[in-house]
Amino acid sequence: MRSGAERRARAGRALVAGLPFAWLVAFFLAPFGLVAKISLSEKANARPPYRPAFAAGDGPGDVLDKLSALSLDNYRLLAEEPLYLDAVLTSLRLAATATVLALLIAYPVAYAMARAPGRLRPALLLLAMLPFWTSFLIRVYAWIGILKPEGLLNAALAWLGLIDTPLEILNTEWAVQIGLVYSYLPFMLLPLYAALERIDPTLLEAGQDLGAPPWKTFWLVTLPLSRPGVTAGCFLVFIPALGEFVIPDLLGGSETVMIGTVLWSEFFGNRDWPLASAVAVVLLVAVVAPMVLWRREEARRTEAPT
Amino acid sequence: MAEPPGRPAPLIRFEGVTKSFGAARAVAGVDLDIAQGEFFCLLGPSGCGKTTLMRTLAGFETPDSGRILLDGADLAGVPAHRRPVNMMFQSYALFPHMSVEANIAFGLRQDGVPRAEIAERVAAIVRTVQIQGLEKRRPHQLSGGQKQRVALARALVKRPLVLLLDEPLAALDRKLREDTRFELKELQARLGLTFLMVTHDQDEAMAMADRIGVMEKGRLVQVGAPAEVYETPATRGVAAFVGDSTLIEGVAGAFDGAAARLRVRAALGASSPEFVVAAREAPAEGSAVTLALRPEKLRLWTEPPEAGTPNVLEAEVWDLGYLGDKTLVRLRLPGGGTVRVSRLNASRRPEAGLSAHQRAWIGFDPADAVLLTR
Repeated sequence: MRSGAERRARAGRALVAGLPFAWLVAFFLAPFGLVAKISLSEKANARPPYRPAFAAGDGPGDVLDKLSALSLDNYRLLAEEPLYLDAVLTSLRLAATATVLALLIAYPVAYAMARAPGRLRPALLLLAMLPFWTSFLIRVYAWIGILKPEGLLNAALAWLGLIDTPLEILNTEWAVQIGLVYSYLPFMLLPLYAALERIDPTLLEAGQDLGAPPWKTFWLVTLPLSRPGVTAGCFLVFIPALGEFVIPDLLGGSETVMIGTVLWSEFFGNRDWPLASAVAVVLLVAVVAPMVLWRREEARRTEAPT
Repeated sequence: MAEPPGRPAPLIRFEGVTKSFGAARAVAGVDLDIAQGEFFCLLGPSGCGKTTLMRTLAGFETPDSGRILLDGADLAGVPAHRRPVNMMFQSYALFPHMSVEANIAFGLRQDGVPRAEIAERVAAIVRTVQIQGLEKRRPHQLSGGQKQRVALARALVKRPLVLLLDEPLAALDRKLREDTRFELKELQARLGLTFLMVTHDQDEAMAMADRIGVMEKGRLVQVGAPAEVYETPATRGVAAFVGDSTLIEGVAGAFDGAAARLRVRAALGASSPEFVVAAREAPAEGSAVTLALRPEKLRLWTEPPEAGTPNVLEAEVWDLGYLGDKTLVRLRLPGGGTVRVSRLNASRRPEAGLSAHQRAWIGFDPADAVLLTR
């Protein structure tokens, strides 16, 4: 009787653990396998627009033939064609810069929010999330109106007498950079706020009590304790910024080619699904690699006491 | 407070220290001297300003007016990180991202103490507070008692002029708390350090402090040795807060200067019995006074006491609270009001012949009642 209940409990636990796992396999791993497979295929002017496709009636021999038809040609093309490499490098550079800038802007803001009187905090938090109430697309469009040669920014600068001729910002990397920082700032702000708000203020008093001036207490206590927020914020900004397609498309003109732009144009412009899939795989690796490294570093750090 | 001649200058001197938060006055004009090597305790209910007063010394609050002198030097304008005092926080405030060792060494690092000396002093203090073997642990891997010791070590290792203790034992369980009391007291005596402790727990204050300062609504209402504060409370508030007291309101009557005895007409509902109490000076006849009666100093009879016994009242036993070492008896007076009498359970025989709702007589010696005029 007891073993029966135990078996049921074990089955229940397996189900609880297995369901999300099955979900991930069905909706993340399987599609990714499909994308990886397409990336190893060849473009075709048919439906589907790639060869070889496996069919339900294929025998083992057919499958083997088709497997051997897979090749790394698309990846070779990505490596050899400077356009793609440039796009990857541009994306990495813009995303990394946007992450650093967002961190530098968001940290003091989050700090001020976390130290604000308790009754003000919900309102400040609401303000930080306010942009989400408007469509992302519309907000990026609004930047065109601000950045264009006869736009708000140039008008303001000219009125202040700081410039004579309008600055060329729109359709340059600058515009993309501004757009990226603007759009992803809340994703940096919120985890930073959450991390800073959780720090017990008496720890800062303890730091000062033990002889560390406020700036040093910040450096030795606040900053290390806010690390989880910094890491989360950086990932939340860097990852989507790396694959960003709307912002370079709208603000960067033809000059700024990011990897997301390439992906889009290969898929929908050239209908080259295999090449687009290869780009997607490269993008995924670019995102996952630093995360894996970070996890390993984090594991080592928490094991070894300082 | 006037300095008795021959006594050294105080280590800490508060002079008219006042601190308000908005409209709320947390500390109202406190004057206090604390000597080198003294274990001083600020005692009072929560919100009485004791913690705020201590925080002005640590440098976390700036007084609105008044001065604080430490070893003769005015602390005004000296930021918290430059004050030669260290605090043991109520929550311990250990840095969660550092090991025990790094927590203890933190203060020494700030002072630029050489590495070798830091290691030596950390090792020494670790032995003093007996936390050997825990050096590499993180705070979350420690028990409450261990955390308390680490916090103590971290504050002591800097050899502060004054160690500030903010409710140092509040987070410990009862048994550990009692052991730690004596340990802290012993440590203070051995190191010859000055301790300033804040607590709302009168037992803690009594057991540890050389002198107690009782605070009430931002004011320091009485300063004295534990026995002094307990046996001769200066105000009704002190009598009610320190220890247990039954307060009986009354009106001052005739004063017999030769015997130092004052007659007091008590206002106990309809009846107004007259008591005789010891008094050194006479309040104006007819002025309002309060008698504070300690439960352990009241006598209790189940039969009427012999004639001529002073200050006897007839009452009804209301309930009995058995506390193990003693039994607290609550009695209702005929005119209304309750009186608490405690009876020591000095033998294993249970309280014989006393049960709820029976008649009893209580009385007190004239010298055992405290006469309060404030």
